[in-house]
Amino acid sequence: MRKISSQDFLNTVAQGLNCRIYSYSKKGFLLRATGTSQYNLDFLPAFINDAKTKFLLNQHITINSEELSLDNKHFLLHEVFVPLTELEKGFGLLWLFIKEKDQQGKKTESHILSEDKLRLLQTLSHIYKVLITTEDMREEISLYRQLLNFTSNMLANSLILYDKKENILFYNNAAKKMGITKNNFKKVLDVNTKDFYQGNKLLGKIKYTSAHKELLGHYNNTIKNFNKIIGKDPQTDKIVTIIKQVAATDTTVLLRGESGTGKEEYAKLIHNLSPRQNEPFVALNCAAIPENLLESELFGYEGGSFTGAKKEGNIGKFQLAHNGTIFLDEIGDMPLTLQVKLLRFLQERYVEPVGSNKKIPIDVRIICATHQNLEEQIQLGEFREDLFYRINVIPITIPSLHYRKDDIELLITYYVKKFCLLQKKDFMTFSYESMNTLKNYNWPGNVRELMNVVEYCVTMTNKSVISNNDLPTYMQSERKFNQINTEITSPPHIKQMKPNKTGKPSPQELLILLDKFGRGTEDKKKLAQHLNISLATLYRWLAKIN
Amino acid sequence: MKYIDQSWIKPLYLGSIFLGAGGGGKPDNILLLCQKIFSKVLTVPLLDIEELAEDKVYAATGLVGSPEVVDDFFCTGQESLEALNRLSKSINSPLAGLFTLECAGVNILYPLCVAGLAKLPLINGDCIGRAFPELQMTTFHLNNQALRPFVFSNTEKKVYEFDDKDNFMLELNIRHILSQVDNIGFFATCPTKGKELQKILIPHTFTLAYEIGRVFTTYTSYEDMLYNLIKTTRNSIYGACIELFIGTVQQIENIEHKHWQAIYLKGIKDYQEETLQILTQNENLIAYKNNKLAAMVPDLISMIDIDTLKPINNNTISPGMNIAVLGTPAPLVWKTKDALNIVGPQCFGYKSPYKSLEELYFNYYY
Repeated sequence: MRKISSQDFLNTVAQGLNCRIYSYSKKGFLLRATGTSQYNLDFLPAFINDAKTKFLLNQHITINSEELSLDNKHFLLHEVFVPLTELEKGFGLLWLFIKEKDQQGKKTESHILSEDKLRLLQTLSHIYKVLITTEDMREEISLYRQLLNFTSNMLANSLILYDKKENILFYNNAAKKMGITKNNFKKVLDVNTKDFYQGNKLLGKIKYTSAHKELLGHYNNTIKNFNKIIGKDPQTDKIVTIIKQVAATDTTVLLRGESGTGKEEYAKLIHNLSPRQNEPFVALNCAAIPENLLESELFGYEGGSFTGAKKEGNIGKFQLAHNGTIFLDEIGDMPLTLQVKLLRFLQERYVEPVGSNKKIPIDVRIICATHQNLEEQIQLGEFREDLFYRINVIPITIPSLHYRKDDIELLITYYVKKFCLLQKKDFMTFSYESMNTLKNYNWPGNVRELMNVVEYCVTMTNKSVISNNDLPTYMQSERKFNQINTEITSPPHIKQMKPNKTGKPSPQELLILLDKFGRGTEDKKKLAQHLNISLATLYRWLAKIN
Repeated sequence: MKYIDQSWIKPLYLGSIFLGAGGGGKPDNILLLCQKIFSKVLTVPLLDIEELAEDKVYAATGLVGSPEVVDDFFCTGQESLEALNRLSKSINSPLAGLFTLECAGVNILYPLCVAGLAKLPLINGDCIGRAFPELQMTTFHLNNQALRPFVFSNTEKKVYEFDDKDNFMLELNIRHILSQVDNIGFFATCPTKGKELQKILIPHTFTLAYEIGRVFTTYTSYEDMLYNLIKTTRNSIYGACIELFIGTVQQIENIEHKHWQAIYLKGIKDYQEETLQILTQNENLIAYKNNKLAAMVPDLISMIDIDTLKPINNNTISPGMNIAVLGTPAPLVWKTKDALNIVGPQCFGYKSPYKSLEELYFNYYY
């Protein structure tokens, strides 16, 4: 329903009652009037505003015709002033009923105003009062809302305002930057709550985190971004140096490295250090979206352009990332047909949504990532050479954890603290032995696997010290196996682990072999070949272990 | 294996003050001794924990006593040799190397001097990872190991030997004797086989002290220094340090009944109109920014003179100095529930439970 303003109300009533209405402020200034400005009464007639005058609702006010600039054809039938408060004289509505004189110039109606009509004017005046009070309140609320917005965005504390039903009414920029929403606030630590009441009735509440003062402006913002990049390894240092250099530019970056090495973290770091840091960072995993949907995901589509499409159409990731950064993960898995379109975008910098011939210019920085050997894919005709040269402007290779043995303890310590805090558990440490097990593990799943292992240990352990027995079972198996056969790491011994004529390798042996050969499809093919079994058989054995 | 040479001494000196977190003694006199010894001894081997021989015995050495006396005493390094000889005889085993109980303050450079004189390697690790005032505040005690036998010699090379099974009793007995002998002792203790020691020591603290010190000798702007301090600590088992405050020292007050001192700072630079209050008891225990908790023990609260860009300890502070206060997470081993019973804020008479820097500044760390 449309909101009725106080002015609308006066106009409607004036039209209905065929009168003019003047609204005055407490000092007698005209606030608003109905109809034309033919009869100007910018100030409430002085005698009405006279403090000595006692206003009665049914009192007739006599206004001179000159004062109203009435012509000879009109006369003032009724004049009623309805005060809206007894305290502030002058604040009220002046109702003027002006009529035309008859042909002889006589006044045709009686000056006497009925009690009913007076009561009606009184009621309407008070409805008007409610309306203007509501409008004043709305203005005040709007003012306070803007103040809340302004001041809360000055805070480093994340702050979210909820109503009594826990619906989010407001959140400040700090909360937005942290990506805090109703669902994940519980994951954020150090959350305080303040309830608001009116009398005993709960109105709502705010949840807020403690502030970390931005230490030295942008300089410390940089430090904060780097705090997630843990590693003493010289290669990590080199990567950080390159990232610092390329972040300020719009150059396309290709991040290469095994799965789980944290390529997306590095992509975010580049974005956060770039001039685009306050614009969107949009990530898309090209391998995770079916080929036939990928194009519409990337470039968007017009409504009704294909079966199942939304009526109103959808904007693509490129448009979402406008002015910001788009991160195309697993670019090596992008179908050839789409590679052509991506190439065209890189050359022309506009998108054409599916089913549309509109060309939408896009300003976006592109960061790609892959674990594939793109050079090999080019040879096999699976990746376009021209696209490769377009995206391979600044290649950065993220080293596998396997080559960063010295960083394993640092990463474990970093994540164990994180998961203890997130799970609100007392801090835990790894025993010397379990730390050694982890240091000697191969980490085929890289940092992602390490995070999972640490999270597993923190979740499953309720002691201060995490021992070997608290590690995931597959790690314990490897440790025990290594204890029995310390030379297992050398390739000749892997050969000894072929299934004998009577059976297949034990689950533990199979897991160790998986670690040695790797967990990718190609790796499994090699392992199957090594075991003289088909790939399908290998998958069947692995399914049983799972 | 690494080798400590003369180039390590200045960085170690600076790193030892930073890791002292306000206490740990002032190693100025020992710096001179160290430089003198290293002009004759070219290098001291530094063994990583993984390099310890499992069956060989290693022992701790260092200084114990009142900070005021320690700061003013000119050591020779020979003092601890007496204690080490007695310890070796007592356990009837040669010593394969030395380590420090407390990798901070005077107990970095002094054990290095002793190792140089004794021609023994030093271990890259310690039992505290910072400075703490009492002997039970060590990972030996946390691992239910008594610091026995504990041998110390006084300034006149008179040797005392203790064999207490209870580390609290040991602390009491040593303090009692120390009060009778100049309040300073040079000790040898914790003879332990490499295999056991690997489980007890906090690793890589000696090299961390060196790396932290290198930052102070390399950078000439506060911003560069801070960036590199954060980078160095981030890539250690401690975790990234964080700038808590920059301000001018207004007042230093003794709180007699608690044996605490309070240092009051008024903010400058980005901290105008803000205040910081640090409660200390030899080391800095708790910091309050604008009356709100900013850091607490066992996390390290260290101070840097921003005019000289060098770390300082509480003995050097005076009103009018402009200092930056940094917090560094303690090694994780000190943050567990069991460990907080030994070194947490309650062990210093503070009632509230421990809140880690990582919890207080979660967004900064994660």
